[in-house]
Amino acid sequence: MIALLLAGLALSADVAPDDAPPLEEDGPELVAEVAGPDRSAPPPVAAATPLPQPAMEVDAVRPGLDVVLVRTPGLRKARISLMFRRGSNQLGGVHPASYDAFGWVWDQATKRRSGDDLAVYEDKNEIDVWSVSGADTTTVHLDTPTDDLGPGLSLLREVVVEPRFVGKDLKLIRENRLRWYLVESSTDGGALIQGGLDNLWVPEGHPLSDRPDVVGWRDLKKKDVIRHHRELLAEAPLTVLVVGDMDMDRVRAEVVPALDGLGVAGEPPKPPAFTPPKTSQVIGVDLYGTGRASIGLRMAAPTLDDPDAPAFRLIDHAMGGHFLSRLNADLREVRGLTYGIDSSFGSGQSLGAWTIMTEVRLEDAGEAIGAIDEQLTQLAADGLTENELGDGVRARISGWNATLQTTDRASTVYGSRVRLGWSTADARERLDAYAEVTPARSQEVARRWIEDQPRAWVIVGERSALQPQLDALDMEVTWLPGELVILGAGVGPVAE
Amino acid sequence: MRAWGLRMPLPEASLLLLLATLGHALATEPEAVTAAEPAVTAASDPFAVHARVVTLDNGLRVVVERIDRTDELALHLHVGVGSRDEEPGQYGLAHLFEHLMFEGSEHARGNAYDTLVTGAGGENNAFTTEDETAYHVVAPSGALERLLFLESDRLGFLSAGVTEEAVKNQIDVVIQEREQGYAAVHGKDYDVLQQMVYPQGHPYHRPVIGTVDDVEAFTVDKARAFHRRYYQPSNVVLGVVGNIDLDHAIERTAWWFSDVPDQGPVARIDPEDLPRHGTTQRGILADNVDDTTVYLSWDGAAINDPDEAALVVASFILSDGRGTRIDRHYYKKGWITDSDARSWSQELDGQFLVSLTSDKPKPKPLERILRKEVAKLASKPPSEAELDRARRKIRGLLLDSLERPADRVEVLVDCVRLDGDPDCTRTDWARIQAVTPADVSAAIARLGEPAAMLIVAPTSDAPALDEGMSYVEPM
Repeated sequence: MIALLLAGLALSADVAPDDAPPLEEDGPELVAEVAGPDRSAPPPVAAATPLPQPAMEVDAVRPGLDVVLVRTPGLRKARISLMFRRGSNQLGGVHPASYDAFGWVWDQATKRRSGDDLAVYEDKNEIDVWSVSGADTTTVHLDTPTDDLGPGLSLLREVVVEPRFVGKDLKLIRENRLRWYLVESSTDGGALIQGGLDNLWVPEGHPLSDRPDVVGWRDLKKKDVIRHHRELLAEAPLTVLVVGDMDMDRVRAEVVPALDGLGVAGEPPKPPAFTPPKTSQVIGVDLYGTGRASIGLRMAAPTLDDPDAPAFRLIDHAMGGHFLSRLNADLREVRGLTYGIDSSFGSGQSLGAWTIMTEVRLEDAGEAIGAIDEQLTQLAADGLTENELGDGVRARISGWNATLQTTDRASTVYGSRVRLGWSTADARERLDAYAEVTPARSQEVARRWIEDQPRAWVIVGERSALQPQLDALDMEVTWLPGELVILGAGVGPVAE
Repeated sequence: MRAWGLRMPLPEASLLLLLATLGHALATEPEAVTAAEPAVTAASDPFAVHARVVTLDNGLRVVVERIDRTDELALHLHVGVGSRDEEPGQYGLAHLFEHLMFEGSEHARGNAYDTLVTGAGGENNAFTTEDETAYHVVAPSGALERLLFLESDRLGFLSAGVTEEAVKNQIDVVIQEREQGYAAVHGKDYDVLQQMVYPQGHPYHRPVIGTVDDVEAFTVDKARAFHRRYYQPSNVVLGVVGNIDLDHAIERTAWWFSDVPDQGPVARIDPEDLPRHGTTQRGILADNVDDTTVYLSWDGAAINDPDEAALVVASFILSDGRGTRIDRHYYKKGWITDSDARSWSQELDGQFLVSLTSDKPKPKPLERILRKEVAKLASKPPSEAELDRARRKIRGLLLDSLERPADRVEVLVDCVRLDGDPDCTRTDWARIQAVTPADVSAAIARLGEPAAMLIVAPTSDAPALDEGMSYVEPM
């Protein structure tokens, strides 16, 4: 009450005319004396600037083991991520089921604890240990309250060094994966779009291919999973990323002892070379019964180190990154065709891809595709406006400034930097590059990457309703069963 | 509760949303004009909240807190109107109105709201439930003044911006949203369960997204009348959390909202008069799914119900990870593909829900397992170890909900509107800690027979109707 009255009095002192009647003691009269706010123009905004971010403190403990600390004052939890710099590409081949399965079950049980006991221990100590297997990195994460790292670190060590791969767990994950690949995903519009575009983009057998290894899942053997674990510990250099409110002395005293014997001298894998498809393709999946059509489009986009990448990131934001983005403004707000349409720019060291996805009524699919095409044509012709560029830059700064909001976000951002070999200063330099993009530069980049470039489309819905609309757009469609699109057998870039 | 009406789809709401509504046993409205002192807490107290609450002369309640870890400003505006308040012929109005709030106000015409938020480097979204409509925005802290201008303008001066064109456009978008939601796998389950658990005449019986006929009949006049009736400052709680000076934030909020008049109190539904089913409603939803799911749902605990905390704990004992009672069947039986238990509370009512899914089209064994596990918990208290595990898990989730400013501001607003105390997460935790094994069993026993048993099965493989069953679809 006191604060409110003081605020009101201060306000009235600023704006009340000299001959204003005396203020009443309390109540609505006080407000009545205050002139209303000036609403004639929106208030200006003090421009946000990038906040300083902590540099990574690196301790090269010994060959094969580096510890990287990112200090996050004020955050309750810490995340300790053991990033083994080897993955399926080095230890198992292209996305084999056995390596996937290894990632799924590594954190499930240990030689000392059953799966149930491990889960209870985690919950009682508010900790979480989980593993993720990737193509070039295999990671075990620990989330733990920072004030007591002991229970978490001891479980982390136990999971990493003494896992137990239980046959029943392997069977469970095998059945789950097979059901997803063979039943559920082939009737799910979003999964079909995502899987179809991935498979159209990356050839079978390429290290970046993500095609499901159904044969491998059916024939999953525990001994292969055990072998992956053994080989990983025997061959992988280890980078440990610690994100939390602690200093390096504490890391050395508490975290490093838990890493005894882990990490082998070596270099992280180099990213595989990749060439994007040179020919357009349209895949259709005849999915009956929902009355809806899912639409996905993928095009080549700059890789991370490509000088076009900053401009393209801003293009992505302007096209499908927010409510007023061009695609949303047109397809959602003006035409009322969809609940939402978004774009995403995936950019790595060797692969860059730009994806647009939406869902519309079956009978509106042709109009939606046409509208997307019109927007792309206009983008290539005109590039972005000053306003769009400014919005994009400010959104990037907001994202940068949110890095230390949560342990999860900080760990994700810094984990990427570790994998890419970027320092905090490198990342900041890239952030600053957005402000250098001009409308002319955006036009040049848009033209180079959008105009007359190959497009991969995946369109999911009832064929009888879609075919005439696609014919009218001169789109030559190859209709495939959903299962085949998900598995990616025979689905891929056209061989040159 | 399901947050229909997110302006755009987001990842599925987590359990945090459910937990955020837990624990409002001491709900008391703040005094007419109050200014709460900052909470006095130990620096190491993870539940510490240093918020201030004020009530403006027009009735608007404001909660502010400084978090200076980042530059972000998170603003959350709750309006006490949801689908429960809709009259026949208006189903879907609260949610459709949420969309209209972005279509322009008198001094921020057209799409100025989005333009000005985006231009500040911010982003926004909104959602509608049975009980509330909420708007949230995050932006750099330098945008405080602009956000207050925008929020106060659409609260006080929306009518001039609501046009025929805007209404028509948003009808189209909402119809798309409804179709897209219902076409998704298991996209109809929640609405059908609400229909079954709560009988006709109950405010939670109908879907938040509304019916097609009612949504399509929405007009500018109806929109303006709706705004006048429910978008009153005294029916709103505004939260601001971020890198802000509290005195300044309160002063500027008072300033920007000072010309927004209040038209008087909004009528409230009496929870004592709500209709109830006498027997279990049994239904089959044949849908675009691959597996067969059985849901058993009970008329559970409303916010403030003495059983609320015990039922939340019970849901974690039944299903929240390996080794819990219902999830155990998922890990042990190869033919069970999913399991769940949850308790959620809303202002007028709540649900206690358990479910199992199988790749075999045989719902009866699933129902038997669910009934057996719930009955077991009703007849014999859980062990201290089970209880302790559930408590610790809930504690972690409660604390996580306070970490990010955008989540924290929503928690504070909910605490203020339902408890009158921004520090209610601590109270929630105290209530969870106080739950005994006997409380859990007693609360489960009091649930009695389920209000609804729903089978969701593939259209091509739906089971035949037993006696007393019917096929069900959303309204």
